[in-house]
Amino acid sequence: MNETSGRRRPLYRAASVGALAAAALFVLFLAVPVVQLVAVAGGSGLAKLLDDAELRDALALTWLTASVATLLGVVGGTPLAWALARRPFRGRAVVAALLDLPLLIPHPAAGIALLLVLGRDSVAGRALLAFGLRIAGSPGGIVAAMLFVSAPLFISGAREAFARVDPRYEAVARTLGDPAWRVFRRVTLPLSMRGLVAAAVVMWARAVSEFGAIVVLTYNPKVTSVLGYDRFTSYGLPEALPVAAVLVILSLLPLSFLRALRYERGMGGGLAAVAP
Amino acid sequence: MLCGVACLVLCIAAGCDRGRAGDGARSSSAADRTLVVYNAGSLARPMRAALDSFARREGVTAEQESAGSLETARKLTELGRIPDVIALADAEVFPQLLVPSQTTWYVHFARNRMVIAYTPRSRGASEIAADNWWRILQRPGVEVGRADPSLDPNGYRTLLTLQLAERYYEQRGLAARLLAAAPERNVRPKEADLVGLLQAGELDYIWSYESLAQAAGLSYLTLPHQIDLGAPADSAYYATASVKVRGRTPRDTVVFRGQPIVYAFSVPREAPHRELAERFAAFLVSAEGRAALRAARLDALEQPVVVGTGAPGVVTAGAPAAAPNAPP
Amino acid sequence: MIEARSLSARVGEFALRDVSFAVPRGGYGVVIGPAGSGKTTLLETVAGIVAQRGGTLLLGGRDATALPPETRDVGFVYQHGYLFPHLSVEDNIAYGADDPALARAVARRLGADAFGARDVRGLSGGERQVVALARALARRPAVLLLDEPFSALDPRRRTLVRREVRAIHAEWGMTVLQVTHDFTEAGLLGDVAILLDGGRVLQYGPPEEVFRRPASPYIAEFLGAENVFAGRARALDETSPDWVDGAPHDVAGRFRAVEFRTGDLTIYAVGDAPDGPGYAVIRAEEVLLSREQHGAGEPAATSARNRFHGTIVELATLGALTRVTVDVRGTPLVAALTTRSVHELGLGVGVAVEASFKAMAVHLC
Repeated sequence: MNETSGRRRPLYRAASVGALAAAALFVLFLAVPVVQLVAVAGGSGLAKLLDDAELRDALALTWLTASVATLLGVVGGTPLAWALARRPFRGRAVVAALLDLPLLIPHPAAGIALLLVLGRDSVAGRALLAFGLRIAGSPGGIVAAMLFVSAPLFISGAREAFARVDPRYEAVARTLGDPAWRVFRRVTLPLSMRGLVAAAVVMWARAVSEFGAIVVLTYNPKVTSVLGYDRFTSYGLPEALPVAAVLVILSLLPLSFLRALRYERGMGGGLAAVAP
Repeated sequence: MLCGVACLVLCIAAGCDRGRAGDGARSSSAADRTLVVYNAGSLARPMRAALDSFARREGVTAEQESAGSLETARKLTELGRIPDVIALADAEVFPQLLVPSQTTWYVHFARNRMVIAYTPRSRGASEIAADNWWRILQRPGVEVGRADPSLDPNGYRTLLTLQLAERYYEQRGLAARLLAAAPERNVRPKEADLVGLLQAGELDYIWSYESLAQAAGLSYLTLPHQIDLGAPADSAYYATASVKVRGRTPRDTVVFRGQPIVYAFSVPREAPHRELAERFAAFLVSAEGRAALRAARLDALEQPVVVGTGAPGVVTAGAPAAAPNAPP
Repeated sequence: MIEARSLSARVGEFALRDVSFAVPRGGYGVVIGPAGSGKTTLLETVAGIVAQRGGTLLLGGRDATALPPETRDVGFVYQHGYLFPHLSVEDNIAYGADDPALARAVARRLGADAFGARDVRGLSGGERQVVALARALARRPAVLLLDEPFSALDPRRRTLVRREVRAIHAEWGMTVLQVTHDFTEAGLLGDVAILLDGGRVLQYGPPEEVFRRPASPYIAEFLGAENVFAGRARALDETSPDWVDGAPHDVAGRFRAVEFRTGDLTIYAVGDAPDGPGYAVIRAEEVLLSREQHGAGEPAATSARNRFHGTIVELATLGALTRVTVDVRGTPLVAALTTRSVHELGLGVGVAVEASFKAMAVHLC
């Protein structure tokens, strides 16, 4: 060990310690507010569930609409994500950029934009009304708002998952006699499943937490985020915190379950495509 | 070492009180030129106009926050955030929530009345008039919006107006039918949220204030003064209507009686820039202030009325004392 | 059969240009080229994995240019196997097979049935290649495309697998196109050798022609072997004078004494090629020339087992190196000598010489 590396070692050590400290602080920054919320109001929130029908309804509505939105996002977004990952079509970069836009728009503006396109006087709105589907003031509006703000997250995650599958697996499967769609079903999908599930979880979580776009389109019936806001402005913190805490606690269950799926053996995930 | 850092941060986070500390420190220095104003949504534009006018004279910067009147009051009582000036669309909120804990006085300084606002695109816009509005609002396919009674005085004032209309037009059940014509799905937290929906064509008619309809450039229908909560002379008639609205906690309810719509403001006891705030308060009741408010379509009272005790001298100098029937 | 006419294709920055060659039905073609020459891309183009940009491709006589891979009836084996990680070995092999019995039989022949229901992630590189081969063959394709399929196999397994592949090739009448960057490693030469470099075919044809008449010095240098003889190999047994009593059997059979007949010549070699038709390759540098001394008696004892008399028919001098072509009973033999030696020995066209090389210098494939 010569002079220079001797001098550098304390520097490396300091850098590693610094990085670790930063990471720890960041974790705390993200975790402490939520932990404190649950610690302070979790108990009263769960107790509330027993006699607060409005809260129960809001939770049920939130989960239902978020799940419907996620389902629509997955069904509609998967082919698009695959095309973005695999097919270099003209204007691909433009489409990809367009799909990022909903993430940039301030949420109330997103709600208004949706209103202009899906409102009762619009072409799409009138068509939907013919089927008996209102957007504004209905769960349909909630789903539309959730879908708009969270679908881009699924699409980019799904695109990543597909891109991580080595195209040579698909090529080999083609030579073994499978047409493109069968290859997708038998090879691409199983190999990217973990990434797809993760992306769907992210989308669902984002949908559940949305407020600004929803409140413009549909204030009543209220989802949990709107109810929390309503409780806060009507009664103040003691009434608002339990709503938020209950939402966090009850959402932890499906989230943890889905996250646990990632670490299961069996289905090779996108990362397992590394070693052919 | 890492654990030490973690523990430290965790302790700080857990130990921190939510705090009821006021906004910023009290300033006694004349060099501090910021004014913090919390106002009701319907006062947003007029307050801005008044602040701009005041700023030109005094060279201040204003921080303005608009929200529903009840929500605004709760910022002081629940969050401990104290502004220099608080101005609400319903004078009643002062005695209900803010007196005496936050202040002991307030000033009636403007008034308003309920109207039905619409656009040329609204269904039935070409026919609506003083003698058929209640029929048009009930037509199938016509969407009517109103504000949330728990969050915005405009909301419960709408309900009061409906009751008064039933009595005035002598039509049994009219209030209930008109309420059904503006269902839950068309309710929004504040009146201001309804304007956007109206302009987007999602709603045909909204229950609004005259000042807001004018400021937004909307067409609007004026209602008989007996039911529009705009004439102090009709106070007795207004008082025959009452609504129950959510109170301080979910199990509480508060009863609001029909009253003329009066806007009030005050300077809280713990205002961060007290001296500047009092000067702005004096400006608001002055002729120049009133002119600025009127230019922004707010119906400023010729004679602002001070209610309660302990109002600063500069304010009472510009306004008469409380009228006998205005409760403290 | 595989016939390419002015094939062109592009993958990213790399382009195949004007590639033409033909491998007859049931034939064995070997694509030889340095790393980065486009060998894998060529195979992928034939398989339809890479889109063809120009030219015509005929498979089994019909125009396959626009056909999708799944209809071309080709089997494809990448160098790294690309076994599906989410399927077991068994399921991998059976992936495209119509007949599960055939799939199992192929697996058994190649020695892949031992892995059975194991997870593919636990296999070594060599084991993967065997499974990948079995997977491609399980469909009994008409055309087999191999990308350096034996590179990761240890010598013993390589012998076994190579033998089985050649046997299957013969039995099924498959057309095979195999890619390698070193033909000696590939261990065999097929009916057609295709030299690829920089995305272009430099030369193609029967191996002896390509090797003996390289189209350019560059190719000659790349190939590095000018003496290629087609003939028949036969292992020598105990009755042969090469067999030394008491010597332990070479169990693996790698060091067998082999007699190789080509035309009028009998060449002795040491190697592991199976009996039957094949090629013997001798590098020009390994060939020694000596002048027959007039009036000399017996030549000095030498360890070279292969000694032939012949006449020089051609001399090509390149600076300090001279290539001397000797006609040995009708078969040309090329020797690479220093120019100085050529002068010292007084070699010239028409001079009679003795050409010799060791049995160890003969490479059988």
